[in-house]
Amino acid sequence: MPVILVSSDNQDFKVDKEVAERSILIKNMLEDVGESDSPIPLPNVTAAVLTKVIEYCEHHRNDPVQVPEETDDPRKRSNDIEEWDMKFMQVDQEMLFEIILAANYLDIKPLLDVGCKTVANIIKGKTPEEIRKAFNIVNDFTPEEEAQIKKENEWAEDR
Amino acid sequence: MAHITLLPVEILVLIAYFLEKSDLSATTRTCRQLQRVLTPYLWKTFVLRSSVSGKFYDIDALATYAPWVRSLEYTGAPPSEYYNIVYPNLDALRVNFCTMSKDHFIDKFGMPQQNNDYSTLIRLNPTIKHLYVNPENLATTSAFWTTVFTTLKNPRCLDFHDFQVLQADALDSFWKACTRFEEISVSGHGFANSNILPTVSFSRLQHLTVDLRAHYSSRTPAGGNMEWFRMCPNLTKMHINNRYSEFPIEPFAKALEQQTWTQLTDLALTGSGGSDARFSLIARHLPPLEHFQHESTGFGPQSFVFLQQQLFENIRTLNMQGCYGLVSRMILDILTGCPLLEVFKAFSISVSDLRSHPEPWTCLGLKHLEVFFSIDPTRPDDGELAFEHLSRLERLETLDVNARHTWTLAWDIFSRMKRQGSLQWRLDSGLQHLSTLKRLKTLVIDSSFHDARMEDVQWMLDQWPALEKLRCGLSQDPVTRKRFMNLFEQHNIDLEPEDGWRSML
Repeated sequence: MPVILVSSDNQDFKVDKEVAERSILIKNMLEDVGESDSPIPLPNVTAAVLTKVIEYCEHHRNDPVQVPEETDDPRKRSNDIEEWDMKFMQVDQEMLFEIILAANYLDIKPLLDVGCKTVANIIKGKTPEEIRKAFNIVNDFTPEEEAQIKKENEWAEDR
Repeated sequence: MAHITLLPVEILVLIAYFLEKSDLSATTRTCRQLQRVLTPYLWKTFVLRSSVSGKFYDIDALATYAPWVRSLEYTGAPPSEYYNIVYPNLDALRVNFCTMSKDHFIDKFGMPQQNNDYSTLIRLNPTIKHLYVNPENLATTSAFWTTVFTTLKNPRCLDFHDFQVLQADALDSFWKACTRFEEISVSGHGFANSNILPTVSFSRLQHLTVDLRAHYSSRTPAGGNMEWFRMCPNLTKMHINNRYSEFPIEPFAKALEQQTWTQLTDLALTGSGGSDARFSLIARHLPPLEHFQHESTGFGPQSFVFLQQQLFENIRTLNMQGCYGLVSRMILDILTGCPLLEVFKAFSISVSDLRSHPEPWTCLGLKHLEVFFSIDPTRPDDGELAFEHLSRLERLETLDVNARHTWTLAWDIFSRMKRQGSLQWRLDSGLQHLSTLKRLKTLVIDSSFHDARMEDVQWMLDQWPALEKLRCGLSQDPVTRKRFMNLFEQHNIDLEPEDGWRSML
């Protein structure tokens, strides 16, 4: 039976229950409500973002529930993005953050992970100045503060 | 508008989880908001070491950041003021004692000042749960271990390397300190000395890992160190490696017979010498283990009979890769007789034995199998037979058919293997039977993959949707090699070209 999701800008999306239940938030809602065909409002997600999120859930509708292995090595953690997911995440930065926020709100852990890994991969290997440029961050440190943090962080930056 | 600095803290922290330390540090240097949110994660693990110029981290800054530190390592003998820092949330401390610093240089008769320094550090930080001590030839003092015993509130794991530096007058306090831990891992040469027996019981201890490198203490009477193991009645896991010395077989067998460890489910005995007859004393009294690892030159038919009696019903993981005395017929007995087996590592199955033992394998929950299949090169249907049996193991995630050679491998076995063939991973050798292995993630095969053809590889990619990793020998022909490599890359499969053990011959 399909489920109707309503975006913050009042667009209806008809999706299979199995797809909608990739979101733990929706899954729990459906369980609480029981059999019902009333639409589910998602006031935190716009239609543009919801379209992307549904695309992701459609593609991963049959994935088994995965418990990611805990590892101490962050390199291993962020290197294992599937090819499809990698392409899926090739969006502008605003959309990337919107997807991450939506995945967090809707409780779709694999999508949240892929989003955060994508951000981590953008940061990787860059200097602070390059990171500022990549994310349009304004440097609000005084030169003195900047010098001090650089000194205090030296231990962590032995590459 | 969405911007990185506007992301909620829990998301920034998740991003930080995927970053290496240097990248995390660079991120905290970009702006105030990211610095404020991410600095605690940067400091979660901290290593204090001297820089190239010989200076240690600024002590005032360290005191400021100390509350964030969960896991701490001191290395290279920092000056004494660094031992007076309170880290209020410290979980793990790793200390690498070092004799090289000129401040702490100690001649071999002097008492090391550094021990007292570390006693202070531990006294100030009673929250430590995991203590890793690497003394590097520097003796640890009685005072140090007494501090560990008296101050730590809720200690869990102790790692201690290396044991030989325990001086006689520190032993009592060392054993006492050990009584407070749930997991202990020790290694060292002098460990087997019989004069260091404890007089206390280690009733909290659940996991014990001992690496006996006792080849320097040949005067050690066999079995001297056994007494300690007997005083740990609640062990669930015991891993003992003693590659270089005689394992105290008889006392150990006796302890098993007396049901010293009633909760033991995970036992590893590697490197123990002794004949089959002697090891069978241990095998006879093995409790119903779930995990067993054994590596020795002596294992043979007498021990195997007891293994069958004691372990087959309950065993889940069995690693006997270094036991060349576990011959092909016994391996088949395991595959047909252990219903709960999930992980199995052994040396080699001779496919001709499959003809005389055609019973189907019953370990249908097997997820991880490492075993070499040796093929009679004059029997073309050997491969087919092996693939047929393997095809029943539908839950396999890892299949590794590369022959292993550990230190226990005798030359005659090695040269015998030289004359035998291995599985041909080709459709015309029966590969199509393996279309049932839908969960296969990792495949390791030896150089016999050299003559695989494009259609064989294409078949694997079509049939095994879960395949992630392939380690194999590739064709020597550069054109074919390149084509294979491209194909795997297109399918996002991690390819590790390896020319296998045969290239070593």
